[in-house]
This record gives sequence, structure tokens and C-alpha cells, in this order.
Amino acid sequence: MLLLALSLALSEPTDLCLVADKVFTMNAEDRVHQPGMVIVRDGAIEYVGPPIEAPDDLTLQRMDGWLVPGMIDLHSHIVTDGWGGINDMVLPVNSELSVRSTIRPANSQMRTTCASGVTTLFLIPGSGTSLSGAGVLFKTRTQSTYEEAVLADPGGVKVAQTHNPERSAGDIGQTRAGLYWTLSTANRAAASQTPDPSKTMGQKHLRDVLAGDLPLLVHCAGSDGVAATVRMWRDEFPTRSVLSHGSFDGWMVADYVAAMGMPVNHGPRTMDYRSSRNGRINATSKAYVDAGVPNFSLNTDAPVIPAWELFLQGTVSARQGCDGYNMLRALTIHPARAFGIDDRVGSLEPGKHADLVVFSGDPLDPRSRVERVWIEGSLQYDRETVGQWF
Amino acid sequence: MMLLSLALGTLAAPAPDLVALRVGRAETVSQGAIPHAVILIEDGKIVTVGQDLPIERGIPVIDLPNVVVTPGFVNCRSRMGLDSRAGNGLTPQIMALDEFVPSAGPFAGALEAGVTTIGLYPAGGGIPGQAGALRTSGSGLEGLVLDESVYLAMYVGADKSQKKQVRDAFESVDKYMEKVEKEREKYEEAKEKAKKKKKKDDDDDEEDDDKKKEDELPDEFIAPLPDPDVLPIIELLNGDLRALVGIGKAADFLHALDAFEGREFAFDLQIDMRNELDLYRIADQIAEHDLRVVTDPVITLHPGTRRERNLPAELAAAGCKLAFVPRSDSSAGHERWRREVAGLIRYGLPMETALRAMTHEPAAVMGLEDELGSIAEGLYANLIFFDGEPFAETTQILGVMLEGEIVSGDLRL
Amino acid sequence: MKYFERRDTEGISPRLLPLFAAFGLVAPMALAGSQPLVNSIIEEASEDGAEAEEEADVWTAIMGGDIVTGTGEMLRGATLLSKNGKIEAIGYDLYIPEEAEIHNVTGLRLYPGMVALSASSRITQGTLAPENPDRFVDLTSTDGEDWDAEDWDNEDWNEDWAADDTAAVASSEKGILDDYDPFSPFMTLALGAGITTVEQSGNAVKLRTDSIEDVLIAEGNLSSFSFSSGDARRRAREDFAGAADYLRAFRAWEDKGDKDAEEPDKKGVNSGALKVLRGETRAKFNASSREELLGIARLAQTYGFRPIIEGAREGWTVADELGRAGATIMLVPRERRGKESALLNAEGGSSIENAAKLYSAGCQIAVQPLSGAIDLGGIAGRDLLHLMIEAGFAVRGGLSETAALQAVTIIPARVLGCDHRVGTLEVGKDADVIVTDGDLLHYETFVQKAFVGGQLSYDKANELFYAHIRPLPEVEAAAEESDEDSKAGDGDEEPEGEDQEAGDGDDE
Repeated sequence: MLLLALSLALSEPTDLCLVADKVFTMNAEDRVHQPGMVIVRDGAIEYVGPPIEAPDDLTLQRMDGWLVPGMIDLHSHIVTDGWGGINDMVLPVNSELSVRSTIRPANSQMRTTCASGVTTLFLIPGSGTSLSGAGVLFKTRTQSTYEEAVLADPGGVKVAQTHNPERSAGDIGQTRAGLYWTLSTANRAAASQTPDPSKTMGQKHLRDVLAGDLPLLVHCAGSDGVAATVRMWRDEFPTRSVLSHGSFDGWMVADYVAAMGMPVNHGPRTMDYRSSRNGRINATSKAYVDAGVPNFSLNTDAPVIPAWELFLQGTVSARQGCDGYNMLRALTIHPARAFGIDDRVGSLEPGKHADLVVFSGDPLDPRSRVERVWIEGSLQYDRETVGQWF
Repeated sequence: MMLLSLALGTLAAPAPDLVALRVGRAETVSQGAIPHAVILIEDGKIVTVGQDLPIERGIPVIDLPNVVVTPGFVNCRSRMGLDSRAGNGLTPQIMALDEFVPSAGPFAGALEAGVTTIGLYPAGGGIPGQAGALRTSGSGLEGLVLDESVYLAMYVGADKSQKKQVRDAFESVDKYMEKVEKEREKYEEAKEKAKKKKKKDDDDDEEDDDKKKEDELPDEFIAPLPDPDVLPIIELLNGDLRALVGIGKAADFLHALDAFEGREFAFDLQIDMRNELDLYRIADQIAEHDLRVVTDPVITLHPGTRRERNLPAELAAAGCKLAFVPRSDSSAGHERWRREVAGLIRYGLPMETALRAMTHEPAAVMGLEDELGSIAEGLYANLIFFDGEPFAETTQILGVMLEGEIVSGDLRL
Repeated sequence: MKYFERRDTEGISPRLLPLFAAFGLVAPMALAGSQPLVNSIIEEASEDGAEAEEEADVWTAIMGGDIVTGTGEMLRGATLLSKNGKIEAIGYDLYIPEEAEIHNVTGLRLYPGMVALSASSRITQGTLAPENPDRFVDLTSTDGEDWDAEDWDNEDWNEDWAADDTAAVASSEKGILDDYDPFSPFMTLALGAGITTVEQSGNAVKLRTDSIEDVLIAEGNLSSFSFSSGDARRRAREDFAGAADYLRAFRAWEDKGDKDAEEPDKKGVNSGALKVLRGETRAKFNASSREELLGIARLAQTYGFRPIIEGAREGWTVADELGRAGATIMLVPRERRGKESALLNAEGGSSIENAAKLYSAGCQIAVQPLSGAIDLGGIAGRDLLHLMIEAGFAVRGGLSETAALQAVTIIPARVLGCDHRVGTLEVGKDADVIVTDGDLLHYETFVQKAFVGGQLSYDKANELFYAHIRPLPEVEAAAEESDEDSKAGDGDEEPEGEDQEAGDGDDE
């Protein structure tokens, strides 16, 4: 009850003038201001840079700690409090389904996620079928309606290239070749001028993907699955697609992924020992980054690992040899760019959404805590006021 | 090959008691390679071997200038001709040979591959029994059996129940010894009593009744019989029996030593090669204990990787003795055996070590090294005749000699 | 011994004659005449035992590192000298015996090896080999909504838990565990994670890579009690009441010294509770809800023992009570769970501040890993290998760094009853030392070397697992290679600002 009241008080959008020890803009110049200032008006960033004189109408707030853009998770299933999601297991291709109707705004997982510094999620259907439908880009507002929190609906489409659909698929879907054929057939049908609605549920989302109007997130793993994904969605059907997972020995074809210019949204696995069999704890994040994939981001596949531990994916990747700053990119601007929402989120630049997070220190360090989170200029979480949620 | 057969053909004559073989080279194992070797054989045993030895007139000489001779191969751990039934307990008294039914078939393939001696081991875990040694050719059981008890099979490792089984076995000996001690004390007491009584009797010049009693005591103490399952363990501790201790991984060896609790007896180690095997971790310790490792000649993968390791070569380099066994008891398995060893030689195992691991060392595992396994004076004339380098891909076996007689191959003496 | 000789004389072969002679016996069945007595095997064995005494002292000197003793001190550029596995001296300008093995670790840090509670039994037994190698090929799973594959380790972990109750019992006074595998790759990995002692079914087991001896360093320090149901609570209360009654009666009987009076009957007295009240063991509970925790605190105060509580999810809501009861809390700092709906108006559920609040209230805190398994399935940061990350979450919730370090060293050692041997670096304790390339609690820090009993048991540079990740400069130089190039590439990506996220952990 108490929390609820507080949350309501928090969510009013306010204009802000903040100064922090460090401000990570995550912009193209990788500008870090120490100290730095951010001025917010009407939910958008007006100024980012070294501290200047505060505008007369705003009270300057000094923050101990590091100010970074809200983090973004492109692979999340926390549409409800539990494991709920949608996944029609009848048809292998469910182009017209959307998670929209299953989302519970400000559910408990989402609130904790917000309190961990993650402000944007791509909420998607499961991976039990080849094409499971459309996902929604959603803000982790701690108190809001669907309409207030939605960033884009549909935000993109979800495909499962390999693995999971094999489990419940009948006949043809039980082979990798069959799965490829299923998707390829759906694509050809969607791309054709005279789609046959009796064969598929309707193909609007898929046609939008093929037309480049919607991004696509492709669940895949293993070197074969990764290669198949790139072949289909870059070569056969060039799309704004993002390769998700890329687990196990998928990193072994990282050069091909990089050469074909496909963004990688990696996780929840970030290392491989068993499939590579070279005796090493292989840092898979590092393998993709070193291969030069154009855009590398990290995910949780929440609730596979908790949505509020997104930062930890950067932590363990850095531990295993990645550059720490680059991992911060992988949690902010890279996923935004991969999904074409970098005009609104992912970095601190004038005109963009004021999705701000103040950490007590290095965001990748589990010892650091999140002090405050704003989404579009409205305070969502304040540790001092509501207590430490995570 | 043709020429050789022809040349041999001319020599065909009833086998005399004494015969001299003059060969291109003899790989004696015990004294290295002897070029232009002469091997003198009498009554199935080697009388002497040496380079260009003068041969007494009248002794038939067989000239095989293009032939390389090695000792017959010894497979010291086989289940050929036995079924797969097995227990898993403390039955050291069981003899593997008791299961064996001699029939024409089982050893022909092995013999063709040059194997002249087979050790049959008892199936099962724990301490399943004793292995016996057989010739690969002979008539009937009597003709085949070399030694009915060559080693005690024993399996122990990092496992509570396995270790307990071994400890129990040793403790059974302790218990038996205690029992014997008690019986002896009893005997001594009785004897003492009887002596006194006798003295007293003598003094008193008394009756015959007591005298009779004394007569019942034997002159010397006779120990009670040990139980049949204790006896082999007593033999083991007394040095009359060796053990072959089967382990599955490096740590098992440490636990085996722990279970042995400092008791000293002769044993070797047996382990099946497999990927992930970490035997290299204890190579030095095995060498330090001067043990043989009975294993199959296989390249394996380093734990968790696809990196290949030649563990036998590593063990040999660390100073361990090796005794190879074929990977399968089938005829094909024996046929492949030499090629598999050749594979290890290609990847760094010294040829001498490899040959030794197929002859002398497996013989020693069975305690038969003074009877066979090398070409030396006094040993059985078990020989393999090769038409080239024994481990070369194209080399064929021309013939196999078992105790002076050619028992396989086209070779005629 | 030809085959048929065996069959005469009713099973006793002639070859046994010398045997009986060796035992100083006359063979049974009058097989032969007597022989003079010879030494028996038993005597030989005892002589051997006496000889094995004289062994040279083994010295190890770890020199030049910054030593974090775990007792609140940090000695910069100091030396730790161990003799026969025990810490002989810590300090400066020590006399180093000539025969000492010397490890120069200048620029690195020394910490006491971590003590991991609830570790999977695979740590000391496991092999990497999967049961069925085919599973490498088929990476699909059968359940879980969006998992790419089952987590083999966790699967096994569950089995471990089931099996743990019967496992791990010492085989001898030498402290040997009958299934201990010093060559287990999981042991190497655990050492690489800075862990030198693990709990195996309530016992403290050292991670030795060189021997199976003296690995069990503490046994049965815990008496477990269930407190999860009403019945269990009542039973626990009765057990302690009964044990207290008995003790009172016993002491009275003792004080009287009346030989004729009958000793109080122990029948029906719970042996676990009795041990706890006698101070022989510590009572351990698994409890999470505030009711359970309050009940335990009350019970402990009533009977005057200091409980160990595993879980304690809602401990932060009753921290003062637990502090007053002198509780030691074993917890997973990042555990997240909402409160029960029954707690409508009361605080409940998990809190990241749990460790900090309990600590402030006077509880001792031991940090447990989220999973006691070693997870090589690909998801990093959640298993035993990331115990120090878990401790980092306690700091996130407000626990001091010193307390967080103690929560993975000396406190768990106390829980297991092996704090006299491990958990801090002090003279006389075991030389179980980890050498790190930075602050142990920083996420980029790696264990470079681990010593157990003064013996180098792990060297990152020499193990395949982590050798390739940020090798130490001198090691890197030796390896040269193309690493140089990639380093240069990384440099381009450096942002303008200096020293961002990495490295900050080093200043204190």
C-alpha cells in the first residue's frame, strides 16, 4: 500500500537539472563527462555535457555516482509476474499473434527490472514455434497503463530458427532442414503478391519484416543454427534482423555473422565450454565482438535469468575478457540501434527520451547499486525514498 | 615370400630334438635386437641365442635370412572362450580356468595374430578370483594350461564399498592369524600342562590314563585351515600370488593404496583406456612404485577437449612399464592389436617399449617372465616370424612357433 | 604349479608349504615337517610404519604480494612463509630457508582461500566426461519455455543433493574421503574461483590436488533441525526441552556424587539437541519466513545456543531478534522472492539488504552461492565459480567489504567448525592462500594461483580453463602472438574519459 502510494508520487514527469560524478552519454563519440550535467524538459533530454549554469527555473540536483542511459533488453518474456507468455503451439507460423494482450504493465518483475536500471524491454512471445508472432517494445515504468509504457507496438517480430520448435513440432518441423523450409515457405508466401490466407494466419507482420518496416529477432543457437539464421535473414531474405542467443559453439561462425553484417543479441549464455571442446572457458561475447559483428548487445531471456540481472551479462562478459565500456554499449546504445529505436533511447543525447539511471559506481559491478531511475523524465525509482528493490 | 617358402620347403624334415634357426634379426626383448641371430632350440625351449653363433655339425639349420623374429605375443587379460556371467563380491578363491571349456575354436584367431599365451581373468568386480594362463594351442585342457593361477584380479577405486571390500579381504587374513595364534597358545598351554603332568606322573610313577591324554596332542602345533576365500589373500601377502588391480581413473590408484594400508604385495595396475582419462596425473607415482600398467593401445582425448594424448607413450616416458592387451577378444581384435600398437609408435612410443609391452611385460604380469615373453636361454621357444619390420603396415606374419613347433602360418620347418 | 597338482590334499596345494613356514606355522594336514620360524607379515608391516617418520620439512615462501589476512589487516609487499603446510610467518624480512620453494607474486594480492558452503559433491568427485557423449550433439531440451538446452550441471546438482546425506564419511584417521578425487577438473575450477575448502554434507573438505590425505578437516559440526511446519516446530521445542531437562538432572546427579544414585536415563532424549546444549555441535535450521525465524530466535535464547540459519529470506524484518540470539545466517544475497500474501501489512519477502541489515544487528553472515554446482552450460555468474560475485551482491545491499570477505572465508569456516585451520591467514593455520590480480570482490579479478597446505595447487597460466583470459604481463610476453594486435584494436574503442568501470575496485 505504502509502495503504491509512493510509486504514484514518483511517476509525475518533471523537468530536471542533474549533475553526476560521471555521465556516460554512450553517444557516437563515446563522450564521458566527469562530472557531467543532464537537463531534461518535457520528458526529453535538452542538454548533456559538462556542468553549466543551471537554468533559472530548475533546481540543480547533485548525484553521487555514475549517470548512464537506461539499459535495454531485446529478449525478454516478463510480460506477467510469472513465466506467462504466449506461444501458440498449433501452427508453426503465427505471424499475426502479438504479446500485446498478455502484457501486465508494471508487474513485479518489471518493477524490479526498472530498479536495476533497465528501462526498455522487447517483450516477445516464446520460441516454441518457428514464427511466434509480434513483440512489443515496452518501458519498465513502475506504475503505468499499457499505453503509457508502450514504446512501439508492434515493436518487432520473433522467429525461432532452430532448437526449441523441434520439441513440439510435428512431422517436418522435427528437422533443421524442415524448420528452414517452413520459414522459407512462409517468407515466400508473404513476399508473393497474392498471399493465401487459408494457409497462414495472415502475414502482415511478416510482410512488414520483409519490407524492412519491422525489426526481427531470431532465436538461434549452435554454429549450424547461427549460420542458417544469417543465410536466411541476411542473404535469402534481407531484413532488419537481429540474431539472438547465438549460444554454444555459435561463436565459431562469428566471422560469417560479422561479414554478413548481422547484429548479435547475445545471451543468456555468455560462455561455452562443452560444445567447443578446446578446454577453455570460451568467452562467447568476446568472440563475437572480436570477429567484428557490427552491433553486439546482451540479453537475459528473462526469466531464464532474472531481468534485473541484465547488467550482470555485461559483468561476466567483461570478466571473461571483454572491454567493460564496450559491454556498457552492449546494454544501451547497441540494442537501441539494432532495433532502430536509437533515435529515442539508448544514449544520452538532446532530443532523446530522458531514460536515466544513476548508479553508485560502475554499473557492471554487482557492488554498485541503482540510486534513481527516470523514464521519460518521470522518476520511477528512488532508493532513498522507497528502499532498495535490488 | 615365394622364394622363402621354397627355401623352407627344402628343409622339411622330421623335427629333430635340436634345431638351429638362423634369422635376419631377432628382437629378443630381453637383450635387444640381434642381427643375423642364431636361435638354438631343444625340446621346445631356447638353448641359446646370439649373433652368428657357430652351429655344431649335425644340428639341422633353418635359414630365414629375410625374417624378423620376435617372442610370441602375450595377451595377459582376456575372456576368450568364457561367458559374461559375473559376480561382484569377495570370491578370490574362484579360478577363471574353472569356467573354461577347451574347444577347437577360441584361440585360432589370436594365434594367427601371433599370440602364443593367453591370460584368462575372472569376470566381476571386487575381488572376483584368479586368472590362469593358457597356451593358444594344445590338445585338451592339459595341453592348453600353462598355469592355473597367475594373478588375483582385484578392483578398487574412489568408492566406499570397493575400498571396504578390499579392506575386509585383508582383515580376514588378520583374523585368521589371530585365530591361529590363539590355537597355538592353547596348544602350547596344553603341551605345558601335559609336560608337567607327565613329570608329576613320572615322579608319582602313576597310571596310564593321563599318558593317553598326552598322546592325543600332536608333536607339533598344526594350524587350523584358513577358509578358502582367505587362502588366496594369504598367498598374495606371502608373495606367492600377484595381483592385478583394476582402476578406472587416476584417483582410484591413491584410494587403492589407501585401502592396502601399507601391506606389501606384488601387483600391477589395469585400466581401460578411454577419452577423458586422467592417468597422466599419476604417471610419476606409478613409475615410483615400479608398477606395470595393463591397458589397451589407444590414443585418447584430454579431459574436456578434443586434444589427443598418447597416454601409453607418456606413461612409458615417465618410467612406467606397459603391458598391452587387445581392445577386443575377437579374432579381429587380436588382428588389429599389432596395428593399434603401431599407431602409438607412430605418435611417439618407442618400438622397443611397444614390443616389450606385448611380450615380456604381460608375461611378467602373470609371473611367467622366466618361462616366456622374450627370446632368451631357458625360455619357451614361442616365436613369431615376420617378413619385415614387425610394426610396419605391410608386414605379414609367416608363422607362429609355440614351444618349438610351428602352430600357425604357412611356414614349414 | 601345473593345473592338476592343485587337486590333491583337499584343496591345499603344495605351494602353500613355504607360506605356512613364513607364518611360523606347521602346515595343516601334516603336509610337511616343521620349519624354523620366520618373521611374520604382521611384524613386517609394523616395522615399516616406524621407518616412515624422517621427512624433510617442506617450505614455501609466497613473496612480494599484498596480504589481506582476513583479520582486518593488509600487509603490502609482504611475505607468507609456510612450513609443512602451515603458515609459519607473515611479514617482512623473514628468514627464508634455502630449501624453500619461492613464489614471487609482487603486484598481486593474497587472500585466505574461500570456504564454499553447500557445494555440489561433484567438486570433489566429478569428471568432465558427460554420461552420454551424444548429448554434445543434441543440444535441445524438452522443457523450459525458452531454454536452448538443459543445464546438465544443475541437473546433476539435484542428484547430488539427494545423494549427499549418505556421502562423505571419513575412512580413516588420516582424514580421507573414500570418493575424493584430487584430479577432478571441478576441483581445479573451484580453486580457480578462489575456493580452497568446500562443504560436503556438513563436513569441511579441502581441495587438494596432490593427495587424498587430510582432506576432511572438520566433521559433523552441525545438528540439523526442521522448523518448517507446526509439527516440526513443536518437535524441536520438545527436543530441546527434553535435552535441557536431562542435562539438569545429569548435573545434579554428578554434583551429588552419590554412587548409589541411578544415573539419569538418556532414553528419549534427542541426541542432536543434547549435543547442541553441551556445545559439541551447532544447531542448524533451514528457515525463511519471519515466523520461523522468530521462533528459532526464541528457542535459541531460551536454551542458550547460537543457531545457524540457512536461507533467512525475511531475516531483515526480524534482524534485531536474530542478532540478540547470536545467529549465524547463511544466505544468498541476490535471492529474489516476493512476500507471502498473508503478510499483507508486514514487511516480507526477500531484500537485497538482508545481509547488511542482519550484520548490523549483530548476526554473523555467511554468503552462499546461488547454485552450489559448477555450471559449464554457458550461463555465467550464478554458480559456485562466482562466489565472489555473490558476495558482491551483499555489498550492493550495504554490507561492508570486510564483512563480505569474511562471509566467504572465516564465517563459513566457523559454520563448519574448521576456523581453527582455515578462513584467515594467521600463523599456525593452514597455508591455504589464493593469489589474485586485484581486489577479490571486483568482477575482473582472477585467481592467478592457489595454494593449499602450502602446495601450489592451481596456476591460471597452466590450466586451460582461464589461461587465455587477461594473462599476467610476463606470461603474456612469453606467449607473444597476435594478442598484441587485438589489444591495439581495443584501444581504439576507449572512450575519452579515463578509468571508467574497470579497475575502480582496486581503490579502497
